[in-house]
Amino acid sequence: MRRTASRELTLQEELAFEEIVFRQRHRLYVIALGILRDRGEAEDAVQETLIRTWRAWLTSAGYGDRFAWAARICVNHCISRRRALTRRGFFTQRDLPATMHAASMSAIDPAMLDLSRIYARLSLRQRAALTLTKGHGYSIDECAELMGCSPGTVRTHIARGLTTLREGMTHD
Amino acid sequence: MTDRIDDQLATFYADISQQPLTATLEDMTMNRFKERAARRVFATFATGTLVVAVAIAAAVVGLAAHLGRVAPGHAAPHGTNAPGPAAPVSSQPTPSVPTTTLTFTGAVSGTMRVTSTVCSPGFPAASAPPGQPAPGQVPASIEADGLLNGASYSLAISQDNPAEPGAAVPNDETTASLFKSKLGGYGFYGPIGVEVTTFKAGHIAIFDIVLTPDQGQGNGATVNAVGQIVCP
Repeated sequence: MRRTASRELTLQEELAFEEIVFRQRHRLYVIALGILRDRGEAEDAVQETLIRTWRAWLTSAGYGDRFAWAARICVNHCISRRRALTRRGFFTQRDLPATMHAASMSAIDPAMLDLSRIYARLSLRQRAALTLTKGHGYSIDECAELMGCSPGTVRTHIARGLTTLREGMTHD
Repeated sequence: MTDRIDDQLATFYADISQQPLTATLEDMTMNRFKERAARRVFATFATGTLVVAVAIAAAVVGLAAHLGRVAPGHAAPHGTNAPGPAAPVSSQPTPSVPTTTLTFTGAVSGTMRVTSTVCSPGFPAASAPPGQPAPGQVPASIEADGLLNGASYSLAISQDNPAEPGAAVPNDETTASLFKSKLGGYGFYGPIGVEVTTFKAGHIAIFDIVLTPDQGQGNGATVNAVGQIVCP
């Protein structure tokens, strides 16, 4: 009986993972894309996030919002992984690939192109803070929780990021 | 009053949110994901185990060598100052090191480190079709990690074990998957079609691997690479 119950619990957790994280992988992808600005890297980040989340899924049972828990893994992975690659010489911090110019409105709007260009200059944490708050509607406190820092640090990242964007924009 | 930059950022992020998933993520099913996750766990475990085993073996060999050097000889005969014969130091031959890397040359170049190899007994001689290699240990399953064209990939090749009753003829049942397991530099993003042709000779298997990169990176071109693995 106990074995059967354990199997049911595992199945339940598996279904929960599929519902909460796996089917929401586009949300994770958009978060990663906002931080990394590269489709291939965002894809890798999502895959890594899915695997890490899957491995530690049971430990997330105590969290109210289990997707937010997965998003935190994704954000931290994006930042740490890119830093590791930068240290190894794959990228320079200020010369990141921008493969976002797909057939979208940013490709035809000069202001958006300008914004995309300046956005690439932001630090990873500034991008993460802006992505989570401006792009996904998280509050400062929620963003701080996701990034593993204080709300004041998040505000600083946002303020500095916005300042850089305002100063760099040439199109009004 | 809303800052203009806020409006532009809203448009910017709305634009990002419209970006479709990559084909790899889009096509991924839950079952396939679970297989990969399990394989990843196994690869990590195998690598960790290998590292620990090598460390222990090195420590044992080092300790044995140390003890051999300091081992006292037999006691000298009484009444003489002649030293006794040297203590015997056993030396074991270094085992031949099997190939542990897959080397790719050509349009896709790089080296992958084999993390797991399962060898099968090969064909029973009596049932070997004409022209097929002699019996011997042949790779039945290979997993490898490494850099191809500067990007990090994992490769998994598996084929039917010919020793199993009812198994299909090898080479017809060889399957392979190549996927990006980690962030890499620039390379072949997205889905990569892999076709594998296996040539076996004794305990050596040569994999002729055809990679078909996705439209975004390879312009639809198909490239060939050859990997080779030797079972111990």
